[in-house]
Amino acid sequence: MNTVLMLAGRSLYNRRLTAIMTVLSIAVSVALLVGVEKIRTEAKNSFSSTISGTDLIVGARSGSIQLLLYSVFRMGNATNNISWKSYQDIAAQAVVDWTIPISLGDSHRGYRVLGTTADYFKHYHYGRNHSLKFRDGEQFKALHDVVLGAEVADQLGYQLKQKVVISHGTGSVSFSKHEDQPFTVVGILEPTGTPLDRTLHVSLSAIEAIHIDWQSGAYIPGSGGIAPLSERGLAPKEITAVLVGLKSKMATFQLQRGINNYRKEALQAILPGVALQQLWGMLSIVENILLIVTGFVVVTGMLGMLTVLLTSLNERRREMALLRSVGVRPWQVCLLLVIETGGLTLCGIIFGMAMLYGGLAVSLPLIESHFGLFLELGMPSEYEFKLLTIVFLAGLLCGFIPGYKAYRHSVSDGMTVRL
Amino acid sequence: MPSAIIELENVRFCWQRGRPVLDISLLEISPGERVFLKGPSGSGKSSLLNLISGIQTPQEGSVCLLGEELNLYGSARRDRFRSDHIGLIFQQFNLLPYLSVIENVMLPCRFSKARRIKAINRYGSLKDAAKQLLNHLGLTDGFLLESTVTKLSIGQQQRVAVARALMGSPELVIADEPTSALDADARNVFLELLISECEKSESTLIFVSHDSALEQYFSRVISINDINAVEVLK
Repeated sequence: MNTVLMLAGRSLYNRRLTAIMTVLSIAVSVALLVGVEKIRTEAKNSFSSTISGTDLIVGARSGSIQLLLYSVFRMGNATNNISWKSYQDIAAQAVVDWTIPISLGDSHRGYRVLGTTADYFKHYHYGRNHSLKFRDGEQFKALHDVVLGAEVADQLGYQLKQKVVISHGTGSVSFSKHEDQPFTVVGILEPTGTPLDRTLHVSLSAIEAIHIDWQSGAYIPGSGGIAPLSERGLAPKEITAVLVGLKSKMATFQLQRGINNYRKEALQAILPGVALQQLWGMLSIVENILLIVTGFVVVTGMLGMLTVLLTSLNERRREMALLRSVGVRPWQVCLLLVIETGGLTLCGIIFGMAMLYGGLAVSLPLIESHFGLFLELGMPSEYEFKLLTIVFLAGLLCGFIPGYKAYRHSVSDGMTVRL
Repeated sequence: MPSAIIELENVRFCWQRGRPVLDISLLEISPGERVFLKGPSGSGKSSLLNLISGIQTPQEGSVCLLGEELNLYGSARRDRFRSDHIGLIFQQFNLLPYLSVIENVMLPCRFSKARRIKAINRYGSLKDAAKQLLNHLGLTDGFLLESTVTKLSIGQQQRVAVARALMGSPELVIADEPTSALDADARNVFLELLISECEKSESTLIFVSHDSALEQYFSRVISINDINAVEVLK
């Protein structure tokens, strides 16, 4: 047995160039497989931790995924707003602990502007219950203060005290700007890896203020009256959605039903966790296809190894006959080849994992800043170990194909090899 | 103590049913004989060697080596018997390219305990045994012996093959046309070395060739056509 192992090793070393190429192709496929798996799980984690601690999201009645998309992911638009009166009704419920009203619809160079209250910075949580932290400055106080998400500040190179003009509507290039009321950057948030990084935050009053002279989507100066801003109430009339935190989770369904059956306005309340799951369910097709494709890459690597071994087998018929003559049994000849494929696959796996971890270590800051994905360089997960085991077993199994062929050769050839 | 080292009786053998290649009523070879086995290609020489070395078993009859009936043994036992008692030399490509010369010579002892013990008893260690044998065969360059076999000439490779076959003094050495790739001078040197080494280790030698000029070196000449009742159709 030891001798067979030694012979397999020496034989492989003798063919080290092809062996290295085989190991390399397996390594690349393994790195890809585990890499995709890692990103897939991390993307899922990051996705489902976009919002946490919020028990209900309330908006105008539409679809739950649509509500989730515009209120949390800043994608698409609300079909309708909800009135300030309804909001106050919800906030006044006994079971409600806190509320975050949000008002969307404006943007700044493609980044959404979100109108909200100071409660946002207090109650909004993401990930494993992380609260928002300021990298620079503090939350808005004056009417024309704005707090930037990390990506907005980084991409546009904004500093504290800089002036920012907000555009009407959500296009990245906008011709109608609220130029009459520029904002001042007073705070920049820490990166969160959520859509929050791509958001500018202002107060609800500010949203009211910049829309004073706007009628039906057009700017008509003077149409909103001539009273100075400081003398106006600026109480919001409408908001887009409300994030609700409850005193007790037990009340969630009861309040949800209450909101859904609200008489005065067509409202809808969704559980963020459930909606996130639904949304991810839709994305999981893509996710599965990705995994299947990488699975095929591994299969290709295996086929490459098989091809190399099967081609070399004819040249090595002599070697097998020689081994037979000194007393190597046919099954040991088979074992020799199984050990070879097993060894190649194992080397491929180890090298592939080294490549992956090395690559991740280098690209981690990039992935973090570009995609907001926080990958952890921990031990491979149980599922990844399972994948690797499957790859290894497949490699071993592959060995039985040339192994069986060599076995047949060594039985039929005997001492004389007919080439 | 059996009188014959090899004894074939009423042996019939075919690769495919209904097409016999060997039909031998009796073949006896005594210990210490130097047998020259000749015959045209396709006459059943290879089949006979496969039977004697226990790679194949006959459909009928008995193949006795050293008094053991190989045709009654399973393939595992025959494989073990071969590695313990038989040294083989092929036409060419006798050596594993990825092992050094010395390692190639020591290879049979890795698989046969009996031969390992014999070699160690006689020379002290496997490495010494291999070196001694190679020295006797005219391969003395210590550096060459530690390097890979690809650096050797064909004549040298064949001599290394002899050393490997004789390692651990097997009772029987079978050489299947080992000189066909050698020129006349190298062939004569090779034969003399082979025979003298077989005598030293008291091994019986079966030498297969169709080169009748070599007959003079041997104590006995067997023509396969004389012992095989099957007429092979050309």
